[in-house]
Amino acid sequence: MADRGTTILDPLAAAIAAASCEEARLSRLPLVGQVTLRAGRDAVSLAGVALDLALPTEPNRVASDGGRAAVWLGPDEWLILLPRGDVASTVARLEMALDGGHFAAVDTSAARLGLALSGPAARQVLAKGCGLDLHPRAFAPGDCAQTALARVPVLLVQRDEAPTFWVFVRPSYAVFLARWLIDAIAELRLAPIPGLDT
Amino acid sequence: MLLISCPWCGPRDETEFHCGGEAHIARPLDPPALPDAAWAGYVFMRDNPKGWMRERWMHAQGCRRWFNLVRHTVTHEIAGAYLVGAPLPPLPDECP
Repeated sequence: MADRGTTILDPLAAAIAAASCEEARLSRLPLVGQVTLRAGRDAVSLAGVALDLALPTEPNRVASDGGRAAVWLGPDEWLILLPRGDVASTVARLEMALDGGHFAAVDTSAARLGLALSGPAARQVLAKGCGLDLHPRAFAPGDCAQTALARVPVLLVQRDEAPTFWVFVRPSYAVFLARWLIDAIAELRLAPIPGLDT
Repeated sequence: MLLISCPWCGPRDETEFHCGGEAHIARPLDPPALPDAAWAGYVFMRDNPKGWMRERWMHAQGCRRWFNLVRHTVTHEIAGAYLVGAPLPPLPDECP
């Protein structure tokens, strides 16, 4: 059973489930552990060894291995997504590996809530409120971007070619963004009008 | 809306950025020894050219890094972005 915890999105659970359709499915992501790592380029390989997961050095890329992902947030900043139970041990491992260097490894699990949007119309839904070029030639699985969606700062991660997007948002904006997404999907559920829609 | 190319993230909407004004203003090395007029010059006085200008911008809703941008103040044309600390690129109307 996925760890859903109690979040500010709970009252919207039914609305989120009802919003989904064949073209675009919206769901809440299970709560995930988040570790923010700030470290210089010289520490990248050390941290990679400590995590047993190479940090992406190419901007706006994600490195994944099964249950974990390392997301590029800046030239010296990464977000590590991992099971919540592994946060403390991961922070401890990073602190041991980078000891003596100039770095910070901090548990930021409470900083973001995740939503998942997937389906053939997912790009169309996001494009309503996001200026980013999400065309497959510009944004592919394994890409991420910190950008604005419906004017809200979000972290966008594309997971697969369905396409499935993860949208991480500050909890205080989560209800607004979830409502905005529900509204953005609504038109996809309308029945086609004979003669007008082909 | 301007389309600004962040050196890290690529082309993004202007609304993701924060403009920090004129670039390459060096902080005086010994502020207490500075006459008030010179300090005021450092704090307040900025070039206001009609033409090409080097500006500081920050990708506030993206990677949150500062960088420099060469922008034309009349046409809004953008000649390029370069990282802080990188060698100064010539302005488009300068001979290289």
